[in-house]
Amino acid sequence: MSEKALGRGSQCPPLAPGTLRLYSMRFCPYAQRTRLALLHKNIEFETVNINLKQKPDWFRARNPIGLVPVLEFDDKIVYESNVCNEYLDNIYPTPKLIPTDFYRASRDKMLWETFGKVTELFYEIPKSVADGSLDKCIRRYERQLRRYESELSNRGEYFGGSSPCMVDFMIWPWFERIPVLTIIAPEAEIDPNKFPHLSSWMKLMMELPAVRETYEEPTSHVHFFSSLRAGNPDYDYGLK
Amino acid sequence: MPTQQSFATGSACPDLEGGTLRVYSMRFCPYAQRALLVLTHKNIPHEVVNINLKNKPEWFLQKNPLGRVPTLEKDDRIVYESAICCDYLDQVYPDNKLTPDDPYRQARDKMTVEVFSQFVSDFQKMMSSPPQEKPESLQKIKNNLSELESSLTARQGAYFGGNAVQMLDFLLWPWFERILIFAKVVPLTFSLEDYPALCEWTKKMPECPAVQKCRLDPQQFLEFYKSTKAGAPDYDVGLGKDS
Repeated sequence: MSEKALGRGSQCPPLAPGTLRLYSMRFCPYAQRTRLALLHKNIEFETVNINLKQKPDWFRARNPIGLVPVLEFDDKIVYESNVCNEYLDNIYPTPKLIPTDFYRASRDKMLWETFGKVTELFYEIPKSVADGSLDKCIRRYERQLRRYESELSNRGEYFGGSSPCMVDFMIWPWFERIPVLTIIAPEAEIDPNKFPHLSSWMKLMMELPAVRETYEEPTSHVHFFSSLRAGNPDYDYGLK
Repeated sequence: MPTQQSFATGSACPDLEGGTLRVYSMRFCPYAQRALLVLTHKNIPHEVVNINLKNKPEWFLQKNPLGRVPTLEKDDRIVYESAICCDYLDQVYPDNKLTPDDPYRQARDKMTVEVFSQFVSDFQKMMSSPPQEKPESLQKIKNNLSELESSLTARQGAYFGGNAVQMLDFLLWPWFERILIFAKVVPLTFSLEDYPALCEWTKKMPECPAVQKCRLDPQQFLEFYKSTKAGAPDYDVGLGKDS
């Protein structure tokens, strides 16, 4: 199956019964969350990449919100990364990435549901360099990161303790993209003196097969992000 | 029973007895109302402590660093984010289960909530944007409402839960309650009548005892809304000195 992004006017590749398909985009952090869960759980799946600027009608028919990731399996459709990942954890419970204990599961969900407070800063920090409010932005960024540093210090090497859990995969994609941020704002680097646990965690995560398989080099992320800002996202960058 | 008056910066945290479930709330917050609906519908004993969200008590930020309601507390356990609170309550108090057991049906319900949260943000944008910007928000709102109408029609019953009220109905209700209140005093740029299944649902929901018990006083809500627009939210509007 081609990795090239399918856009307006394309045909939807036929989906064989019993095959799990992921609609994705190679540089999308939200889709990466679901790719990480699929790979870590060794679930067989095929990928169809979508041109998100010129979406095919058949894609909008599957997800009216028009975003990736989307899972399709026979007549079932699931979208929204957190919903996809919870669904996968229910259907493919080995290894279980969300605790069965209701309170622990809730605490984990709170961690990834409130991670938006960090991700929004990935957009605000570059803007704040332009308008002179970088210091304030970085303080907010560090305050939010401290919540995760503190939580991690109570849990172990990973948010899942001695092995990764759903939280680790749900937040990883943005940590992978920090090198893009630090080009514009070196202050956004994760300082091992301020964030010793998160710094170690980032190194550990990079050793996981699922993380390595979905990893894109900083140069690729920078190229994609620049092309996106220029209004012509290069979804197929790096493909032969 | 603690007071309904909101707690602000500098206040002392009211003692919480061991074994008591407390919900930190705000009388006019739609997100907090989700949790109150679930607590009421499932007859879960609880006490309510209202928070002044403009001037938050320091002790509240210790419990929830994001300082948002609803927040649940019982003994050492704290849960926040409204949808997470509601799911947690449904699991820990499993009588009168509000969510489906089937993982795919659970996923479809959560997807509907996500579509709905787009509606919420578009609606808020429309309410606060100048008239010339309203058309774009309006089109988005109409698309969202069409999605919700399709979703409701597909469920083959008067409720999102089918023949009975379920979690999804409670998660959506607070915003529709407010739309109905606004509709009586300002001309809305969209009409719920264009969405017949949703329209019927807004008439059936008030029959649910939990919805009745948790209902807003329209007058107080409008006064509160006005006070927020003026930059000085009056969280205790309508409460006497001894409430």
